[in-house]
Formats: sequence, structure tokens, C-alpha cells
Amino acid sequence: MLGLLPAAVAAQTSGSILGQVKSSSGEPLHGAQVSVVSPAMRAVTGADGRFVLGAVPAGERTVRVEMLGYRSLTVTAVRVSSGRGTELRLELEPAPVPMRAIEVEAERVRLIEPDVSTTHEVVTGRELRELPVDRIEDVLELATGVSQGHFRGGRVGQETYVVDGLPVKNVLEASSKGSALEFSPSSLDEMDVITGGLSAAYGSAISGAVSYATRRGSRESWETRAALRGDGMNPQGTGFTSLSFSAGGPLRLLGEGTTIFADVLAQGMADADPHALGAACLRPQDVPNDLVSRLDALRAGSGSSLYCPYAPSVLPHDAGDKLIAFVRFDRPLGGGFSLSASVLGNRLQRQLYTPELKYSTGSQLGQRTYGSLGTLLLDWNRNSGGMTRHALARIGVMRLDRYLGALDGSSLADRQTIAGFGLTPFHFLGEGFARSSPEAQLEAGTGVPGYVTQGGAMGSPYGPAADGIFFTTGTPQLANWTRSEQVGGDVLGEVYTASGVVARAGFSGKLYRVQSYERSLAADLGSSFNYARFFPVSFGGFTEVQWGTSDDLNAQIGVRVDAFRPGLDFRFDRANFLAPSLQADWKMAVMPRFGASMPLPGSRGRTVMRVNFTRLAEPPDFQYFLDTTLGDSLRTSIRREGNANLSFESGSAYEAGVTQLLGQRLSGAVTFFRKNLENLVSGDVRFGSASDPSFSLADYGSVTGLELALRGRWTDWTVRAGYSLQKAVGVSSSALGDTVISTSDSRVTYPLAFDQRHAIDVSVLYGRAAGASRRVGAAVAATARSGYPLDPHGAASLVGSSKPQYLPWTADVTGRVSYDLGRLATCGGCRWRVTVDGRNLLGLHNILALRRDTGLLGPDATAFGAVENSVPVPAHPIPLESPLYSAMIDLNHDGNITPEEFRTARFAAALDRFDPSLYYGEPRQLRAGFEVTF
Amino acid sequence: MRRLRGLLLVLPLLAGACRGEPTAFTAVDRVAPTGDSVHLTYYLGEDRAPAWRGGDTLYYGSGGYDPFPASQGALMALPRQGGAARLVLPELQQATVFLATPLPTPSGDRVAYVALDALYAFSCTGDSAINLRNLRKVTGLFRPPLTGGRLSVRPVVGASAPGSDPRVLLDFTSVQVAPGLPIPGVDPNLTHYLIHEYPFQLDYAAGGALPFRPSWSPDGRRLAYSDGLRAMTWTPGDAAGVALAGSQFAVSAAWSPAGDRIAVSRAIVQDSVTTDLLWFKGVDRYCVERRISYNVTDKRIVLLRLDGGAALDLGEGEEPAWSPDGTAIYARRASSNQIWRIPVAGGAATAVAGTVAGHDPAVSPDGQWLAFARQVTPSNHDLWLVRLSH
Repeated sequence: MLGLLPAAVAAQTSGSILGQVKSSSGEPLHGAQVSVVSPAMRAVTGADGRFVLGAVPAGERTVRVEMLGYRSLTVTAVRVSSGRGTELRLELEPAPVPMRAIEVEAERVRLIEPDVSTTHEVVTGRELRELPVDRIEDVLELATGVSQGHFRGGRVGQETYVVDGLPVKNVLEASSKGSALEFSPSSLDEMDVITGGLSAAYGSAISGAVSYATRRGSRESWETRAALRGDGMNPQGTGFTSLSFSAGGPLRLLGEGTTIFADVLAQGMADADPHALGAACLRPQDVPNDLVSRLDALRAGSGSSLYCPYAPSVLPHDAGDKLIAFVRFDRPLGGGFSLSASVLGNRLQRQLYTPELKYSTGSQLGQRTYGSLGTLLLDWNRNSGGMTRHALARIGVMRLDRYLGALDGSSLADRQTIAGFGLTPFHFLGEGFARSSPEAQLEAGTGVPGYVTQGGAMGSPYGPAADGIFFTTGTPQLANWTRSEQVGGDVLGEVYTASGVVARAGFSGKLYRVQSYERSLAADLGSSFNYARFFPVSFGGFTEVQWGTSDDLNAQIGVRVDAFRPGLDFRFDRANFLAPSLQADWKMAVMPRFGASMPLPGSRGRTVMRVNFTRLAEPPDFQYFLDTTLGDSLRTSIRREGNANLSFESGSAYEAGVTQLLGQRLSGAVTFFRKNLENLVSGDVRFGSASDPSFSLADYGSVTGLELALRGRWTDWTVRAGYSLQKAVGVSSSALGDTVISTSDSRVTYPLAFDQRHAIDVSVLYGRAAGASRRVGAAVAATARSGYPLDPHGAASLVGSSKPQYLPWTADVTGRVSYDLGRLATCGGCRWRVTVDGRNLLGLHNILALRRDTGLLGPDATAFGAVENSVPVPAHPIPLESPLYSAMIDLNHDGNITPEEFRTARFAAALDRFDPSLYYGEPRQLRAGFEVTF
Repeated sequence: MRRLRGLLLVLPLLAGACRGEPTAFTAVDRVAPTGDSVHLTYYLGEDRAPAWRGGDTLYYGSGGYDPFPASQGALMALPRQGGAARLVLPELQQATVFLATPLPTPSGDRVAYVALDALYAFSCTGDSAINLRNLRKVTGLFRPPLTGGRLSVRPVVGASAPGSDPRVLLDFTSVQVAPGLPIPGVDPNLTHYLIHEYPFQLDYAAGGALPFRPSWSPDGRRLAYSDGLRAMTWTPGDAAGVALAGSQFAVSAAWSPAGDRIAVSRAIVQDSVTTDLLWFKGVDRYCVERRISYNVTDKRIVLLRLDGGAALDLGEGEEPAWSPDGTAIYARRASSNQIWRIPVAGGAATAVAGTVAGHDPAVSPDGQWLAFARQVTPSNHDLWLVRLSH
């Protein structure tokens, strides 16, 4: 009666439903009405029984087929994916008299996609809400080929993000700050993660794309959901509390079919980085051999009270909160037109752990990010003559504003919070001054108001030993802010035919205003700062054609053209201020793209092959146009010179894959891919060089990989598993003028910094979480990854060294169990559900970073000694009445700190100074939650 | 309405999940002492001569230690509740200056203190000495350590240059080069010295600068003090002090709360003994020394009247301190190595519990606490407090 197969590939947040309606005797039915319930869309079958419903919003839809003389058919849970066609093969039973419609449910998980030439992973809105994740980015990790934000070995930021078809990439600093905009999992209808074979509709990406389809309100009734989760009852918890509320439904006052959906997520976090354990302590295995005996002696001796004397929970330097609000409005206008508008607002803020100020809670670094996005879409859709014509015009406005600086300690102390969440934003010292005009700042000739040079001697548990190790007076010295604003518009036209041909073309343009301010010694009078304001422009256009059906060859061919202009002046010769200043030229990239898939002849559709080739390019992060002080080398004041004449980063990617249906419940896929990367922005810094390094496009390399994916579906279970093996290498030679890595003429091959060799991901959904009608639901998400190269450019020197070449493996298993309580007496209209989340269920102690110089978490004895010996040991005992006295280091409690006790404390303080905080993965813990729908 | 009820159910859940956020780490630098007997200082050198400033701060003399400048004598202040000490008059504190016995005025606006001069550098020290009077070899000679000093007064804040502070000299010449000394049988070309072994020099060598401890009159206008040889009164600004009658060898002056008497510790000495010494270096005669010694047989607390009236002897004791009501003197008695309370109007003296090995008593203005320096080793005194039970 029902067959459901996907069809062509595109790249929008709407897809199409196409297929054929036949009678039970196999005759094509002409004139049958096929409709989507919400939003209302309708098509009529042609003489061959075929139909197409184009531009259907992504998500699970209900399709109804009606024809006089036949029993109506309702198909629920029809999965419409962004940019793809869902093929329905429907059969109607004759019914001389009216009968109740037959209702069937479509298959939720597609095991095999004979008509898809890309590599992608679709996560439905239900799965997003059921998976044990705190944030949307965590779901990305469950897509095969994505690991710690790297798509198939690419650098973070080489992927693009699309919201309802609108690109929202963080053009200024994607490589360092990621996507910037964040959605609540409950505000999405679908997330599609594409790692290979990007269609021509996607620009500004080399490694992949993430397409979000936002939820819209139901046309039929209001649905409201509130959920609360937290670890407050767990002594080991990290202070996580999450309150989510969403509501959507019809707004009939504004016309039939008008809907609205709103979603709010508020999270408070004692530890705002959910991947970090927080403050931790060096263990003997974390330090070089020559420190092990001393560390052992400290732990076992009279100074054991000084070893790791604090609990991480009393160092709330990583606390923060998150507020995400989203509203979407949809209204049909008649004549095939409809209007959609949405607004997204983000406020993400957190204190940043600052080791040297760890005991000075009033002087912390903080970061606050505001993100906002507004879209307005006019959509036109007409089904007639066996085809759908679709056009849209859209404008979008987006702003990202990030401030990084010293928090105003007094306002932080006075800030009212509930469960870690505060309504008021963070206040930073001197933010108004830092945001004032550069001319005014130069004229003032002062430091940023409120900033104080670091110093002090007391306040740590180590008392006198803290002098020069932990600053107890002063503030962090950074005052940075960036703001990028963009306004853009695009138009798109496309035609769907019932035979599976889709042709589309689009054009987009964006205007940007970018501002960047960076001051690294903010307390110093008249300290210099970098400030830039410029106005880039970009345009893009594409056209592509797709054709084919699920039984035949499917192909898509397209071409994309992108162009941008940095909007900045630059000087070729930085050393010569008389050199002419030039406006950077327009940069242009032409990107042909091709993909094909087809069932293997003779396999009866159980084996599908796919290949694709794509030429890819993206403008470099705009931050590379600017001079910058390296964040990790403030003490050396190393700066990098911006290069406004950077062109596209580019590459070519091709892949080939085979998907095999294994029985009725399981499929397996093997994909081989290779990417050649060119013109990558160099990330090298010449420490100690007399001249500052400039950003350049000197790097190139390749990523080769093999991916295995399994998908299974049973009545109550859904299973996804993936394994990827990647090798990402860079090549350098002096012939390119890159003297950073090698001064010889020989070519040097080295692992790229984002090389990630092995990655395993598994997700298992059961019961309600898998869409089954059960009261119990369970979801488990697991990942395991081999480590990054420890020292990519020094890899050659590591031969024969005891230092590891790669970081250790990391693994994580999280789970959620839920139980539907049904309706309770207290609220007859409500359905209640309880959830329990287990984080890091196996309690794995993941190491996320190591020191490059030692290959360990701790420093070598020389570096350690430099810090330790920076505090001289007093010649005489320190009595209790001395301001330098600390009871904690008076180990025998005789009222005097002897030089030997001081020496012991100094060692412990140095250990504390080199704590590997934030290097360990998330702690094992439980969270409990409730959810109510009404 | 049902939706509203559902929302109302969610709110308590939110409240239940709210957990107190972690409070910031606070280092415990020292534990506040408690009890009726409090060990206040632990410096391994000398903490001496505590004096109350109001009821919540103690001034005292100490050696320098980190983070203060290294010094033989520094002026310190310490909270009565214990805690970190600080320098008093920090602008004066240098490694080469020996300051001692800080004493704030009753109003606390000024501080009187003693600055002691450099120690004697004896040039008449050979390899061996012979007593010319019995021609026996002499060993273990006491050498007076102090050459002189000054008593100064300085405002606590807003002070002018240190050199302009009112001061009076403590002139106690204990060592003189005396070429005309008639020492029979000695080559007159050898250098002759005359040395006085005053009792206060012995006291200083044994216990520090307390003999010179000043004491403010109740109105804070005058000071009582001792130059080591006799008790004096001095009005800051005057060129010199005025000696009190009957105060020979009186030290550690303490002005009574009523202002009419001054308690002192007076050394009772036998007749002086003169010894002539001939020093040798190798087999060569080197120098000649005439030594006048004063053997102290007793130390007694004596109340001197400012109107010239008869002094009152309160019996054995030294380092006297008045009770705030003027009815008793607290003083150390060497015979029992303890601090005693001696009623001024007569009656039995009582030992103050918890003051074994105590020196330098000072009673708090409210009369509740006794601060004193307890001797731990010959060169180590710590400050203690004991609660007084009346």
C-alpha cells in the first residue's frame, strides 16, 4: 500500500514530496488530491498518477490522499528533509460508499537512500529533544566524520551554518569562536549535517554544512511544553540547571493558517564549559620523572594537606549562563504566497578561568556574546500541471557582539541569580571606554578605567608562596570586543516536476559592517590597541539541476560562483609607511559540483553506489585581515600582521560510497573521500622572530578518509553508529617562502593541527525516544576519538622522543532515561514526564590537552623550577603574626613557618599554578528533570 | 486555567532544582585565638614591652622579620584578637635603627619610643686579663652593651621629618677612656679605661630595653621614664627631663592612673666594688681597665610621689604596671619567675595565674586582660594574654 523513498537532492530547509498514486489493481489514478495538512499544500495527480508537492517545510508531515470512489489514505510521520524529495508510492482501495480513512505511519528512519549522492546525517526534532545533549553542537559529534567540531579533518569554522536556508556563518571569527549563534534543541524541526558532496546552494564552506529547520506552530491546536533539568540534588553536580519552555499554535485572529511558535531556553552553569572538569590537580603520572619523587613525597609527607587543597566546586570561576529565545511567525497570504518571519536572540556569558587569579574571585575574565538574527521571507508556491513552481525572496539581518574583558567584581557579587542564571548581563570594567571612539581613547591616554596592574601577595591557600604565582590584586589585562553585522538578501527560484527533475537557481548578496577592538595591556597608561572597522561585501549565485528517481540514476550538476571584497585598505610593504595604500580587489571563486547515485544493477535496490565531486571555497575569516595580538602570548607581545588581500581558502573534494541493506532492519555504508586543501590561512607564528609574521595563504594539504556507517531500525529501537578514519596532512617547503617550518628546500609533510585519525560515534534510541508509543524512553550517545597531533610542526623532532605524538584517546558516554507519567490529578490537561540524565557514565578521565614541551599535563623541571624559585625562601621563620603567615603551610602548627615548610608550600603552590584545569573531560554525574506538556 | 496550573507546578520544581552556587575559596591565613590564655606572637626572637592602645591593639617591640625590614628592634602593633602585625611609625623602621618600648598616648595620637644607640665596641679586649688587686687571672667579664639612646615622641599619622621629633637624650656613659686614672704599677702609656657595670646594663643584657620604658601621664602631656640611673619626668619639647628624688637606679617607670605617683623598679645595690685589670695580648701588655661594679641584691617596687612625699616600698618586684583603677601594681617577681598583683593600699600580693616566666606586664584599659612577654628561651620572648580574675 505504501512505499516511501527519497528523491532528489537540493539544499534548502524545505523539501518536496513526490510520487505516484495507483489503484490497488495497479492503474495510475488521475485527479487524486494529495495534500499536506500543515502547512496546507495541495497537488492533483496527472494522467500518469504522478504528483509533486514542492517546497514543503522540513519535518514530519501528514499527507492525505483523497479520490472519489476510493477509500482515503492518511500517511503520518512523512519525513521531509531539507533540500530533498520524499517519494511516496501510494495505493488506494476502491470504496463504493464513504469509509473512514486508512491511517498508516511512514518509516521514520531511512536505511538506504538510493537517490542521495551526498554524505549527511539527519537528526529530527524529536531526536534533538530526546538525546542527552546540552547544546546543539553536541549533536554534531554524533554525525560520522564530525569530531570536536572538525568536519572530516577540516579546521573548525570551515563549515557553514544555514538556518531555514539563510547562511548565518560567523564570518569574522568562525575558526576561533565557531558558529556563534545557538539554537535551543526544542526550537528545531530538523538538523541536517552534511559532510560530503555539498550542493551548489551551499557557499562559504570547505568542510561541510549544517542546516537547521526551525519549528513552526501547529495550525490545529496549541502545544506547550516546559522542561526543567538540573543536577542540584547531586553533590557531584556542576551546578547545571536548564529551563526550557516552548509554545506554538494557531493565531486565527490574524487569519486562517497563521501560526506562531516561541521557544526560550535558560541555563545556569557553575561550570559553563560542559566538557571541562574544572580545576584539577597534577598527579605523579602528569609530571616528568624528575618531579615525580617530589610530588609523591608531598602527597605522602607532612605537606599532604597542601596537595590539591581545594575542591573544584569552590572555584566558581567558570560559571555563566545562557539565554536563547526564538520566535517564528507564519502566515499564508493567498495566491500561493506566504510570509514567514523569525527572530532569534542569544545571550551567552561566562566567567573564564584565569589561573593566576584563581584565588582572587573579584578579578576574573569574562566573556559575553550577544547574537541576534531576524529573517523575513516571502514565499510563493504553485502546484499545477504536474509540477511545482517555487520562488522566494528573503532578507536577513544578523549581529554578533562579543566582549572579552575583566568583569566588574562588585556587580558580579551583587548580581541576582536563580540556579546560576541571572537576568542581568555581565558588566565589564571600562566597557564604555573600550567601546568609545579610538580617537577619544588616544586623547585620554589612559588605561581602560577600572583595570589594575596585577600584583599582591596574599589570598591563596599558600600564603607567602603565592607571591608572584597567584595575583591577588589587579585585574585581567584583556579588553577585547568584536561586532559583526550583516544584512543580506537572496532570491531563489525552483521548479519540481513529478518525474523527479528539479531545477533551481539563486542569487544572494550581503553587506557587512565589522568592528574589532583588541587591547592586551589594558591597565597600562596609553597602551596601544588594535581597532578596525570595515565594510566587506559578498555576492553569490548558483544554479543546479537534479534528475532521477529511486530506481534509476540520480544526478545533480551545478555551479556556484562566490565573490567578496574585504572592504579594507592594506599596505603591501608594512615597513614603509610611504608605501601606497590599496583597496583589496574583488576575489572570486567558481565552483562546479557534481553528484550521482544509483542502485547497483541486479541488487534489487539493496545496494546503492554514490559518487560526487565538489569544488569548494570560502572567504577567510575576516579576523585574518586584521592585526592581532596572540591570545596565548601576551607576555611576549607577539603580534601577527593582518593581510587584507587574502583570497578564498579553497579545495576540491571527491568521494565514493556504497550503501548496503543488511536484512530488513540494518544498513551499512562505506565511504571513501579525499579533499585537497589549498590556500589555507597559515596558522604559524615565528616566536622569537625579529619581524612579526603575517597572515598568509601558505598552507596546503589534504585529508583522506574512510567512513563506515551503520543504521538500524526496529519497532522500538533506532541505532546509528559510525567510524571514521582520517588522515590530514599538510605540506610545506621553502619554495613557497614559508620559512616557519623548514628553512631547507626539502618538502616537509606533517599532520595538520586538526588531524583526527579515528572517531567512533554511536547513538541508540529506545521506546518513546525512538518514536514508539511507549511510556519509557531511553537514549544513549557515545563517542570515542583518537587524539590530535600533539606538536604538528615539531612532529619530525619527536622521532625517538618519549613524548607522545598524539593526545590520548577520549571517550564519552551519556544517557537519558525518561518515563511518561501521563496525566496527573493536579493538572488534568497536562502530561508529565520525568527524565534522568547520566553524564560521562563510564567516568572516563579524558585528557583534552597536553603541554607540547613535555607531552604531559605538567611542565618540565626547568619550567617548574622557574616558577617555584621565583619566590625566595626566607632565611628565617615566619611567625604567626607576620602578614605572610599562613596557617595552611605551618605544617607542624607551631606558629612559625620554617624555611623548610616554606619550601614545601612553594612546591605545592607551583603545582597548583600548573594545574591542568579544563584539560579533563566532563565529570560523571546525574541530572534529574521533569517535562510537562499541555 | 489548566495550563496555568501546569505552569504553577513547574515553578516549585525550578525552586527545588536551585542549588546554592559555590562560594569563592577563602584562604585561612591564621586561626583566631580563643580562651583565657592566648598566645599572641611566635617570633623566635624578642617580643617585649607590650603596651595597650585602647582595648583592641597592642604595641610592642620586636625584631624585624619578613616582610618587614630586618632590624634588631622594630615597633609593632598587633590586634588584641590576634592576627597580622604591622609596623608602627614605619617611616622610622630601618635595619640599622634599634627601636624599643613603643607607648601610645592615652588618646592614641602619639607614640613615645626609645631609640638605642649602637653597642659598645670595646677596644680593650686582649687575650687574657689579670686582676691587679689580687694578681689572679680573670675570665667571663661583663661588658656594658649600651652607649646611649633617645626617648622621642612622634605623631602616629601626619608626622613631620623624624629629625624634628621632640626628644630627650638617655645619657648613660658607662665606658670612658680615662688616661689619668691612678692605677699603681701600670705603664702610664697604656690606654686606661673606666667601666661602670650599672644595674640597668645588666638588665638590658638580660631582658632588653624595658628599663627605659616610658609612661605617659594620665593627661598625655608628660612622660615618666628612666635613663637607667634614675627616674625622670619630661615634657616633650623640653631639652631635658627632671630627675625624681630618691630614684637612684630606678627603672621601668610607670605613671599612676591618678597622676600623683610613679612606680619604678629600683635596684638595691651593695657598695660598689672596684677592680683594676691589666689586659694582655700574647705576652704583651695591652691596656688597663678600672671596673666599678654594683652588685644588685634586690629589686623592689617603689612608688615615688611627684609632690616629693615619702616613697612607698611595695616589696620585691620589677617591671611594674598599674591596674587601671590605680589600686594595684602588676610586677614580675624573679624569685617565683611569675607576675604578681600587689595591692597598693597594702595586703597580700597574689600571683597571677598563667604568667609563669612572664615579663613586662601591661593591663588592658578595662582591666580584664593582662598582656605580658613570656620567656621561652633566654633570647626568645612571646607575647601572651591572660584574663584577669579579680
